[in-house]
Amino acid sequence: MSTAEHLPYELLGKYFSGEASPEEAMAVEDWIQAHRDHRKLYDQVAAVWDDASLQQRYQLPDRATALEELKARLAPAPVTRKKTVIRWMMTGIELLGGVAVILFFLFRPHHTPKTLALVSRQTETAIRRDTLPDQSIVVLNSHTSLQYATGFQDTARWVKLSGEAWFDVTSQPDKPFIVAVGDIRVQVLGTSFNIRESDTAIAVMVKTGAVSMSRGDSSIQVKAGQEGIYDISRKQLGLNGSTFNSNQLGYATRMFSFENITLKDITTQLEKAYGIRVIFENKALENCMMSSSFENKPITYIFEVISVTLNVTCRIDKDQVYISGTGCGG
Amino acid sequence: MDIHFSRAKDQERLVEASFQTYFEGLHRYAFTILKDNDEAKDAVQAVFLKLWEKRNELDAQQSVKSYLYTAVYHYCLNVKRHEKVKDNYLAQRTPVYEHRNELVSKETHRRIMEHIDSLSPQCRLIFSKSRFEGRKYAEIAADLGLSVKTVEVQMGKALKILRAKLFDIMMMILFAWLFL
Repeated sequence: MSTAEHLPYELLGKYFSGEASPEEAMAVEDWIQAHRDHRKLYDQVAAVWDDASLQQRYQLPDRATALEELKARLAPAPVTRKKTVIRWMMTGIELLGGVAVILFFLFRPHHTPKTLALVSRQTETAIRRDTLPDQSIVVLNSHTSLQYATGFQDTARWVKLSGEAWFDVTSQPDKPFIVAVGDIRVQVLGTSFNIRESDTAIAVMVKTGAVSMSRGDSSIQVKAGQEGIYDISRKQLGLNGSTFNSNQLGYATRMFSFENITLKDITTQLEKAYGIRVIFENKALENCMMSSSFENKPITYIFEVISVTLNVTCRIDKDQVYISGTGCGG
Repeated sequence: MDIHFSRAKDQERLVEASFQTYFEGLHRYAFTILKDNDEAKDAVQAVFLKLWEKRNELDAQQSVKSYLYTAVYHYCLNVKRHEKVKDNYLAQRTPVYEHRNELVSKETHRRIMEHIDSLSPQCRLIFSKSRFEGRKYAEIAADLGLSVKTVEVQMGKALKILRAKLFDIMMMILFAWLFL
């Protein structure tokens, strides 16, 4: 029927099994590139192979990010060599030893991952606020990790994120701030935005300014008030039609605008943002409804407003808040 | 498509251009051997570092492409050898399962397993040994008293049948759903 019948299945079998020689691997690549339909068929066979086992499946890393990492490792090399050549000419062979040492380190078989000094930040359940070397502010939500190279402020500012974080980036037009997350990049000049990575999607909510989200050659602009979504399985970038609820960013910005929602929902968000625990001594109060907005107010102020609005008693004891009383107007 | 070394001064650009052109294919190839996305990325990076170092030694007409594929191949085999040594010390390594994968494809996985069960016994046995036990073709051939060529043919057959069952059926359902 179609080209599907003439697929080089035996070659692909060897390839996926890890049995392909370099020549065979090149043949597979050439075949994939030869025709658009080949790529589609290749993807189907690859899906069969990947889905048959629950082990790690193939995912192509973002090429631009990988190239940046490579450049970061290449950068010091030419300098070292130039110096060596000049000094060698001046002082003769005494430096041969030094060259040998350099070569040894460069050709060492396991000269791979950790040549670049990385700073890592990781959160468990608590939220973490941090200032980066370029004075940008980052708030890591629970179960999030962030990495950047030491001296990252010297050229482009690259950070690697997994999980959810809020960024308030200082404006430095000659040094773009780039977040690598999953297999996409989010690039900004100076702005504040939130990135949330889940199993199915990466969402970027922009509060001020604009950012660009890109994967390979495709990219989209996300402006203030908009939410850009990357669908991980379909590998597609797009804008969310509706504006996002900025309360979702409350954990970082401490800016809330509650519109007729239950006290339980409100306190859940406050718990995250302020690292407190709210205990309802009267469970019925969880369903009290209220509307109010708070802009980075102290926790005592917020609970004072709540107690006045709903006619409840809020008692704050270190990082625990007890809510009691008979009811809310009802 | 291939890029050749010319004695140009802008070697940096050559390395970058090669990276842009071959990164995807090399990474995919490294993954087939190492079965780990990060390790595969490290392998490709290491090979490009080496390419950078050797950029002046390479023959003017030598193909960068075949240099890179060969280097990735040898690098990956080296990593595997190291892992084997490590595994001998660390008695048993529990395989790393990605949660994401488990969640997303449980249903698909179940469906594929059904199709694998319906393969002919020899075909199923060979496919399982390669895919699930990670055995080398040569080992499978020796175990079953077959030629390596037979293993290749059976693996190809398994992939062909499984692809057709999963995708042509899906297309038919989609077609029916769209036009009926």
